[in-house]
Amino acid sequence: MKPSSTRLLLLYLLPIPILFLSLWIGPSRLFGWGDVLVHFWKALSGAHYREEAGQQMMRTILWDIRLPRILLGFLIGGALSVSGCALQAMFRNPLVCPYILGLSSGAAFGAAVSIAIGSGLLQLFSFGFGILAVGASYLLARSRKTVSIVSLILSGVVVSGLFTALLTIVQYWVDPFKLQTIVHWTMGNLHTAGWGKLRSAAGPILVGTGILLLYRFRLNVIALGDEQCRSVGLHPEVEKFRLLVPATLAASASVAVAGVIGLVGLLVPHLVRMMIGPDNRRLVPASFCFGGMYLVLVDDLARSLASVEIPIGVFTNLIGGPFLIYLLRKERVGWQI
Amino acid sequence: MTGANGPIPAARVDHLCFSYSGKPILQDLHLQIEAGSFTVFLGPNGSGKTTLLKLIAGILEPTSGRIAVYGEDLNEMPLRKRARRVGYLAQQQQVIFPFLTEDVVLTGRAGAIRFQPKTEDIDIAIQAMKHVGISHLLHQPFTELSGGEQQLVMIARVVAQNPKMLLLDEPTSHLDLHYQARVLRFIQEWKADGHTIVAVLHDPNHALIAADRIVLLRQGKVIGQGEPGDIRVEALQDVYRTRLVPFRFRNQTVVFSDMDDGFTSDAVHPSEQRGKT
Repeated sequence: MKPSSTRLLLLYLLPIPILFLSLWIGPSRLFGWGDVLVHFWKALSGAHYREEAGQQMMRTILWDIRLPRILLGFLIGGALSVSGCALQAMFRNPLVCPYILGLSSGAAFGAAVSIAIGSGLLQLFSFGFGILAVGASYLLARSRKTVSIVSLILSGVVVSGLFTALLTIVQYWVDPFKLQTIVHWTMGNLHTAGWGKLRSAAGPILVGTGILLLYRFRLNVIALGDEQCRSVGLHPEVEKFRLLVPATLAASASVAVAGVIGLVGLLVPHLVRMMIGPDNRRLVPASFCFGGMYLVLVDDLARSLASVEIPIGVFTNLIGGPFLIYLLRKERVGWQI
Repeated sequence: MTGANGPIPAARVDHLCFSYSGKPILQDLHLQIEAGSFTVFLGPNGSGKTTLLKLIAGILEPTSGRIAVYGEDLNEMPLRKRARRVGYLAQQQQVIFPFLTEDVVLTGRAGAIRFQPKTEDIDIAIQAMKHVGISHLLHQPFTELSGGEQQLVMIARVVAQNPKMLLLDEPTSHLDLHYQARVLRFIQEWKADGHTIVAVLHDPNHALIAADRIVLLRQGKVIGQGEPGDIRVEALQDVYRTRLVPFRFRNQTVVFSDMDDGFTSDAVHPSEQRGKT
């Protein structure tokens, strides 16, 4: 059945209150609901008010810590989900996630190298190596001008394994303090988020997801297979490349700023597909909104459940895994593979 | 459309060879398909009929030789232009995601769509489903349909694509008699609209009754072709390696396989006996 427009509207609009509510959540208990509302009302209306010491701290917490973190979480959740949608359609397989072609292993290796040599270019290294890993998988799988799905998955496994081995070597050599930083990075977390990180990640994420949003109808065509794609006038190899590049760009930028956040790119497209069906014309934008909201919610849990912050990557796996299994059993989604 | 030497054929195949992993499938094939005609490829399993159809559709690239569609080289034609000239119905459908049938039919318009389908494309898709008689399946998930219904949806997809030449690989398989007759009627309607139709059929009688021209294939070679009236029963027996009994139906000879002979596993066909002696 076609999804109802109420359901679609809800998916698009729900992130707004969730994002706002998240501003209130955090370890600092210095201010309540009313304070946040009053603060934003005054800030938005441009009214000048006397800044007392307490308000100054609230301003810092809200504007410089929570807001960039929430926005970054939203962008990353959206990017990983849209990237997952694209790759699932491209691979014609609902079990695929953005890390299938070695992106996470490559990025983790890049980050580890950067930490080990103390380059100070962690984001750039992980972003570059993430893309390098996907590129290597793609080129290895390419033979006689075509890229078959099976060889792509196989080369992805090989490249992933290779970079994981290289990462282990770096971890083995490096001193214990740096090792700790590397391990923390690979867990995936948002606690270092700030305006700087948001600025550096927003560009590639918005460009990548924007391109996928633009070409989302083609995901439906490519999901029907190479023959069906070619017979209606689209070149399957060109389309695969066209979709893989922005999907990798968006996911790589996300991993570069937040580390490896698992299961979002797999779980969110599934969840949204169950709600509104598999048509990518709706699935892609809805996954962006829902994925962003989902990651912000998980981050809310990560920074409020315990007195010490738990890395968000741990949470997405802890919550996502069992939830996905539960949904698949409950909905009895009979994937015919 | 006419050229210097009479009308331009819908497809012209010259010196076509195709091999897969070094194994020759089609060998030095020549063929001409007249525009506005209904041509049927007949042949046993493995004779290369589907491969030939895929080559004319541009799904596969020839190892050597040339295929021209409406006078232009197929492999030099941009894919979008090709999609307006040639449409292809695959023998098997493998749809993984539970897309609604409407979404599947709409992908037939992909060659004409830059980013998002327009209302016009959606209307064409809905009209195509009406034309094929499956409007009631519009909002059903494709993966939950029966094999025959899926086949009809894919036929609607080619109709929505609206190419000049339709290449149909076993369009009547999976269909009950009602829909088989319906598809054969569609083919006549499309022909009347000026389309060229080429089909691979399993049932030689559909070809004998409905086709304008029959091409007999065996082991990657054309071993005979002509109008249904010119196809001899012996030639069909030779192609299918089974004994056939001819009947007259509407001034046309149709055939039934002789069950006794056909089901005997160790029966040796006369042509093979000839070959051995």
